[in-house]
Amino acid sequence: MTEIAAARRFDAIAWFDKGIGLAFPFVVALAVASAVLLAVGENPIDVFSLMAAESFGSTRRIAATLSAATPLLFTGVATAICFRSGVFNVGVEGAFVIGGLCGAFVGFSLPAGFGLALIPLAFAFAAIGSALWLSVPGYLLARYEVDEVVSTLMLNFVAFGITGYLVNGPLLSEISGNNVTPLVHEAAQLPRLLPPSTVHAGFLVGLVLVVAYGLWARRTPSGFEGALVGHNRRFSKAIGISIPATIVLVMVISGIVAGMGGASHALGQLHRFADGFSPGYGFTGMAVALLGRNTATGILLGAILFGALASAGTTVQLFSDIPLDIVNIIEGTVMIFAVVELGRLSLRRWRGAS
Amino acid sequence: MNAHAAASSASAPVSVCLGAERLCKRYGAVQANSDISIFIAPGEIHAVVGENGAGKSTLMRILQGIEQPDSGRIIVDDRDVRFSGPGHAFELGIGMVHQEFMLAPDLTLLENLVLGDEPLVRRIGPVSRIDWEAALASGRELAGRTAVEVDWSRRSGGTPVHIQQFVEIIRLLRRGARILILDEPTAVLAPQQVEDLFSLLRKLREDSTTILFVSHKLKEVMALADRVTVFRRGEVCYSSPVADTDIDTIAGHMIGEAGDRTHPASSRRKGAVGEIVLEARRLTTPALEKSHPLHGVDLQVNEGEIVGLAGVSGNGQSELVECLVGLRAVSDGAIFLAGDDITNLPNRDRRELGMGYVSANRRDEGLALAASVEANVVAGSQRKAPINRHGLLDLAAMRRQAGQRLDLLAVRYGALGDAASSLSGGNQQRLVFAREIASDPKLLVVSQPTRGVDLKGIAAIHAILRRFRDDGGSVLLVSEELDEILELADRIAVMANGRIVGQLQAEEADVAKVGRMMLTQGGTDD
Amino acid sequence: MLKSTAIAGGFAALSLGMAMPAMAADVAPAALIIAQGGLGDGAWNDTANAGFEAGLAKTGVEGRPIESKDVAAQGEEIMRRAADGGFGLVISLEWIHGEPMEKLAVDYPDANWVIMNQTRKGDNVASVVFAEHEGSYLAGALAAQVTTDTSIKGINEDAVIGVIGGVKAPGIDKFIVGYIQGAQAINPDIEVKVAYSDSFGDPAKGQQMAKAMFDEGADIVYQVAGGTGIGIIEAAKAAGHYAIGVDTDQDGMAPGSVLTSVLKRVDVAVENVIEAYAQGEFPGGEIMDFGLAQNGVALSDMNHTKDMIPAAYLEKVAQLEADIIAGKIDVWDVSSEGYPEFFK
Repeated sequence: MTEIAAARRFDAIAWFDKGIGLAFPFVVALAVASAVLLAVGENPIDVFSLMAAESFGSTRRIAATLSAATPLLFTGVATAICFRSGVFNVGVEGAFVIGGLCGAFVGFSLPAGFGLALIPLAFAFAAIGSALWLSVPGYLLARYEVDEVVSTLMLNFVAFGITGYLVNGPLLSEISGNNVTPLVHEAAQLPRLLPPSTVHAGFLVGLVLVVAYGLWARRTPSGFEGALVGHNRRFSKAIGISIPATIVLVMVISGIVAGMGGASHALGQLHRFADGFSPGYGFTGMAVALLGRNTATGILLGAILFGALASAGTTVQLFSDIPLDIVNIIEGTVMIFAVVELGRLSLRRWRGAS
Repeated sequence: MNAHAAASSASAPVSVCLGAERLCKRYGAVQANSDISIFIAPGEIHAVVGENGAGKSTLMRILQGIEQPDSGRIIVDDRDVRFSGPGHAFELGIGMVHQEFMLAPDLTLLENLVLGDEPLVRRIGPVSRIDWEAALASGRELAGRTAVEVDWSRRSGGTPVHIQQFVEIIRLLRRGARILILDEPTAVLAPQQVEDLFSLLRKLREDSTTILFVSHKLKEVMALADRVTVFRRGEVCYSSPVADTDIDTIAGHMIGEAGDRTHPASSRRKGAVGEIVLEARRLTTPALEKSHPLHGVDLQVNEGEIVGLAGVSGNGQSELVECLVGLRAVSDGAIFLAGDDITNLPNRDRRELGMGYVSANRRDEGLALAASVEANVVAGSQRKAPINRHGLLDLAAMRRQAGQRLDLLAVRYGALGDAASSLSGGNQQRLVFAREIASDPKLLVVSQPTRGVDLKGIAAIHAILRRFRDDGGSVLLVSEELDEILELADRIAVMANGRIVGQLQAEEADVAKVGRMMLTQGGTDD
Repeated sequence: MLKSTAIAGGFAALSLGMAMPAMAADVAPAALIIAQGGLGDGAWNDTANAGFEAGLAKTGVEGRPIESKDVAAQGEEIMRRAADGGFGLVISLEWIHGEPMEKLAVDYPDANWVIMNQTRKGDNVASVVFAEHEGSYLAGALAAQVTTDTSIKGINEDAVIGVIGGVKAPGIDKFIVGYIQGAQAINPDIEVKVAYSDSFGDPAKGQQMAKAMFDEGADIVYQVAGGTGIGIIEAAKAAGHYAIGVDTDQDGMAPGSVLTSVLKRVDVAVENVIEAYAQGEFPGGEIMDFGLAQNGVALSDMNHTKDMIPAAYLEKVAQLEADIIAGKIDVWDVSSEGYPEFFK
């Protein structure tokens, strides 16, 4: 049949298209930022080369970029797990701060005598806390069809409230004038990978989780089922996949990953929990997952891209008059076009199907 | 035929009401329409037949103004036109009746009738009041002309399909359509309703409405149409007045030389009937939104037989199927599969016990269209060896399994990684069978297996079912195609009003008998 | 792009024709790291940045403010990059940068480091702290005098005033205790209602809580709650009573309804630090205490209210200020002394 031959020939085009699709939001973002820079009288090429140098120009800058990318590895994976199963969990942000608080709590409240055992304990406690946290909206969706976008979004505010209260009250560091917990014990602090840069062992944990996620998605029955549920719930149900079990499972895994991300950030980066613990890693993680099309490689690249923007965006201010707003414009445009691109692809898929 | 000459004298009677000349349309690498010419005279019922993918739908989309042709002309009333969009085509009087009706389910039939063109008491800007009496009068008038009884106050969602279809048609007429395009209008109708529809269409023809009728069913074409045009592979390969041709000729042109059709009589089961495989006892479900309740269904399917379940759509067949496969809860009664009580088991366990399911809704339930061919054909086996090895998927084994399954039923596909949506309708359905048969089930519950499948595909699917039965499998075949049931089934159960109202052995069944049982034992109403 | 600092500084000096110490052109540039909330907060960050710019202009030192959305986690990288990039003075407005700065100061002994609101070790680290309790003391004394003077519009006869803190924490109670002590210095029997909003960014909550205090007879409420305090000022305006602003001059937010504001002159502190740095007298290893004496804390100019406050009250406040500066009055500092008897 001609259709089949055509489908094969399309393969190469589809791959090409996919590559463009991934780079497209970024290219548009650069174009928009260039326009803004020109309008304010800056030379975009100078600015972008300075930004490139500040993100990848030296070992230290690369380390700073990886440091900024570390939390996004976790939140990107935590988001992608749900998105690929059609569960629109926007509560990774909340789970991340809950995990951060749990991890920090173990890190400073247990006796320092636990030594290195503090680290796995903190990660485990954070993973359990956040998994329980996200299992609630998961259960509500699976059992009562409570819209997960609404429930997880609202739970974020609850998480901010709870952690805000605890860090301002019961867990407030006695010596501080600000809203922070005490520092975790030395033994509980994750070692730095390239001292003196702040990139820490949490980055490796994040990498392991990205790889594990890739394996889970491609190589396990439950990962396979998750993708099918994401494609078509009715179909999945008809071939014997339990939709409620899948929903709860992906929400729990998402919680575990987000919680470990929080613990990694608390033990490796801040060494405590504090107000402003996450400047929206969970939400940036959504952009990372969308940009990376929920694939492990895509998430890794997306996290590094956003990490580079965050680290370079800050330090270029030391050497130029570029305000942070330019970086925010680039980030925002990438996010918008990542979503637009997604819509365009699914529209085409829909057209092709009909 | 010279359209230009005719157009120059506006007063002369038109010779072509709707037509296309040398129309070409290409989608990517697929030439969907190639050099299509078709001319429909005023007041003619013109049938277009062809297998799936022959290019009928593309032509319909072009004639409605949804798609633009790459080259060629469109003719309306002997004039060349270039549609700016569907609205433009509609202004010129072209109305389309889709297979899925475009009625708002929560509005009443009367509201649907006038939706978008409401008669107003008087126009006072945005607060104008709708003149419901005038609306009702116009609805009654149109219905009266065609002798159809309509309860205009009913919500369209709860109305039998033939009434919905009727309202859809007269809604178009009310808004000035004088050329109707009907896309497989009989697919959802019972035999008697088909006859009603045909008399309506004939009446419309007398009132000089022009009708373009797309169908798979040659008997209907012979009964209704004035002229028939056959599409194959994007081209018009045959066109003739119906009076000058016959079914075999048309079918020959549709299928090409490769077509072979098994004769029903030769295909019946040979051996004796075995043990009971599926038994439903007094199956009852409550009335839920948008579903027909079951009122104590008793049904048995034995080893090595195909039981056909006939009935007018919406009499509880789909609900029964859902109860049997575990997608709907029963309130009373019991279901046994090979002696095991499966009444309260989830569908996964039923599949484990040997039940396969081919859904009537291929697009939403039978397949995940956006997922790959491979994923679709191995879905459900992801937790079993050899695909699952030590808790991990063996990707090589998965590919092998997928290839074997697809080859077994000769599914034609591009690559395993292609989306299932890239397959033709018939191949999609074969894929579903390939998956369901792979686990070697005792029982296949099969619902509308050939809906939207072309003739070659139908023959292949029927062969699959027969082979499965001959190998000792059991099949519950639910179909709205009475021909299909008569052709395949060893035993026929007729369902109406949420009950089994009669059973027949295949030898004693014919269309008239079964059709009468379907229609006389309670309609679609509760 | 930042050119050679010395040249740039020299050009700045020439082009502006400003009188400045000769050595300013030789010093490395300065970085000011903006805290959470960012520039445009109309408070802490903006005030500090104003002092930063004033200091740069005065000394000819080059410098830049640095913003980050993720200032908590990125602080160390930013500060290290600044030191690597040749900056000689790094001032952080972010509290949480205290610990990393202590370590960085060791790695970069040639750079000078400044942290706020805490004390950090290191010969090249200057710790800036503010005597907020002293400013709050003056506010309490003023409020205690006004609250019984029914000749002033919107004042009842009850000796009741209030204060709303953002959270129950030593850093906030430092203000509250100072305020109470100042009020009691005027009237030992005065009732000071204390409440916490448990938030720094919820104006609606601030408005509700302030309204409740006004309903209970308080006519002046001191806000120590950041953004939540904006609602407290709104409530004062709506009820026809008074609020007292904090940190920055908030008198203009509701002219006539803000009795005064307790200013934390972070601008003065930053400017002082830059001047000292430019003159080669960076106070490394010192705790720079900015109290009333250093003009580091103060009451606002009361442009909208000073005409309706009897002059005697203002004179009394000025007298108390002089006594504090002279060491005759010791105002309780929760952050260093813990909680006093009269407050839990």
